[in-house]
Amino acid sequence: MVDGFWGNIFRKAKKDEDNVLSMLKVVPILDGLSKDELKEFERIVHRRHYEPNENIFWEGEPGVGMYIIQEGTIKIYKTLPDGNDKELAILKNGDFFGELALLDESPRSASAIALEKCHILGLFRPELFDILERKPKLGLQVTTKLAQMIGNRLRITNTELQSLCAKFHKPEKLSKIPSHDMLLEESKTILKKV
Amino acid sequence: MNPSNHTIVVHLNKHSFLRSLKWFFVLVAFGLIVTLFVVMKSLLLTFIVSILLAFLLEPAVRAIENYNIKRIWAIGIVFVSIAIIITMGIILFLPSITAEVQAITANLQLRHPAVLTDEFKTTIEENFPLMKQRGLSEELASYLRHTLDDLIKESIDILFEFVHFVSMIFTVPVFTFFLLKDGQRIKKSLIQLVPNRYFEMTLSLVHKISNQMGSYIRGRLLDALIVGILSIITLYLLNIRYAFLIGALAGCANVIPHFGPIAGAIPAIVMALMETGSLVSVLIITICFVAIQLLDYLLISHMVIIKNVHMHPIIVFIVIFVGGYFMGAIGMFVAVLFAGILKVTISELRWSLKHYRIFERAPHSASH
Repeated sequence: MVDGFWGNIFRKAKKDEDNVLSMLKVVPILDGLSKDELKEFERIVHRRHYEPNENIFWEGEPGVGMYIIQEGTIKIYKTLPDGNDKELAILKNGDFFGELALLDESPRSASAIALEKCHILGLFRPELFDILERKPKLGLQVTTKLAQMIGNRLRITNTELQSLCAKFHKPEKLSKIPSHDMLLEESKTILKKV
Repeated sequence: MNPSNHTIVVHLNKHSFLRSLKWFFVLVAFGLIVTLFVVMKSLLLTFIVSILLAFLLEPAVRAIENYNIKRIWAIGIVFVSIAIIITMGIILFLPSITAEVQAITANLQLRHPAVLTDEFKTTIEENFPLMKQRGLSEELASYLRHTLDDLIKESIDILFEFVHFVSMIFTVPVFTFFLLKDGQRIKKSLIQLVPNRYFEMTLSLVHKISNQMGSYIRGRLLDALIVGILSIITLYLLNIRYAFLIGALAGCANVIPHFGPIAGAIPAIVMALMETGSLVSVLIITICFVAIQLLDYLLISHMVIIKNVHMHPIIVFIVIFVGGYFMGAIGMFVAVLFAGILKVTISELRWSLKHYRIFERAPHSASH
């Protein structure tokens, strides 16, 4: 009977560990890591539970890290100057958010709130940096992935901005690839017009 | 209406009741901490020293972990290395330390404090006749006599402290080992208990404080070690008696800001005065100690990256007094480190409360 009791506990813990490992596997920055390397991250993730209408984080507050939804639905929203909230995205099981906060403490660009009972895994910057210090090879692998992801996003943003510019400006202006400063100027002009 | 039948109705809403309850628990917790502090102070001191040691050894463990060695083995390697260093130190320096201690004990046993102070008075009067004229030598000798009497009276307490110190030699390594091995897990489990509302703030705060604490403790202790070694070498070269003990004392005293360097230099100056009786040697020792302090300020403190935690001299004085009152000599050093940690914690807490705006958060308005 005792064996059965302990067996149940260990089976439950093993199941939970496997579940977390399978969740971590799908996160792009942890893609391609071996099981042992993933276990290193499994040890540092925080398991959090949120009730409906409970905020995970607030816009404007310093970011600490990213979250992976194990179970539940999360809404990402922005508070407008008039005090109303504008929904940006609805995220479900397996989705992740807040990954840019893994790099620095810059303020969150939006808030996140649980729409139902949620089980979330949190991977945070201090612990990621800790791995980077203790296991530099593994840390480098992950930060390279993070840099690649940000690079890809920047490319996509540039393309989208380019197409936005094309809508508001004459086509001859876009004959050459715009520089970062030029894009910034263009976006400011567009925002003013909007 | 009958005036004797007054009924007092107390309106206590849920909010104020919960607030009172919260304050009640805060007071109970505070009371428990104070009781724990007083009743179990030796255990608490062991625990605090272990935490300080764990912070000191953490970088070494991490450096070994970098070579793909498991943490438990890395801790083992660090412990074995320390044991080897201590053993080598004992083998190399024990004869000279024992000789110094024996010489001091023999001096104290052979001569009565009154005789010793009279000798001190005569030496002073011979070399500085001006002090005799103004009665300063008598005052100095009587102060020394009182201090020695007090020291003998307190020797039983010192013996108890020594027993406690010996017991700490065995318990501290065990505590330190488990703090190094499971520290991260303990920290994570404690953070797990924090409500969601304060979770991110707490996580960030805990890591910042622990980083700052680590660099502060490592900086202070490494700085004290280097200053101690420099003092020992200087005193040895100047041929001052008990160079090892006085130098080690100067190093330990260096942990205490403002007063430490002065307090550390006094025994060396007194010894030089008693040994040679010349003002020149006192001047040389003072110059050497000032040079060590300058070197410490300009070079060593930058090398060991001391987190500059500025504390007002009065605060330092109070902290030393309180630490000494509750936990004796070790308590003084621990209290100074603890006060630095407390200061770092408060400044980080202020930053977090300002940036996380936990008291200003508006409830979510949109319907889902």
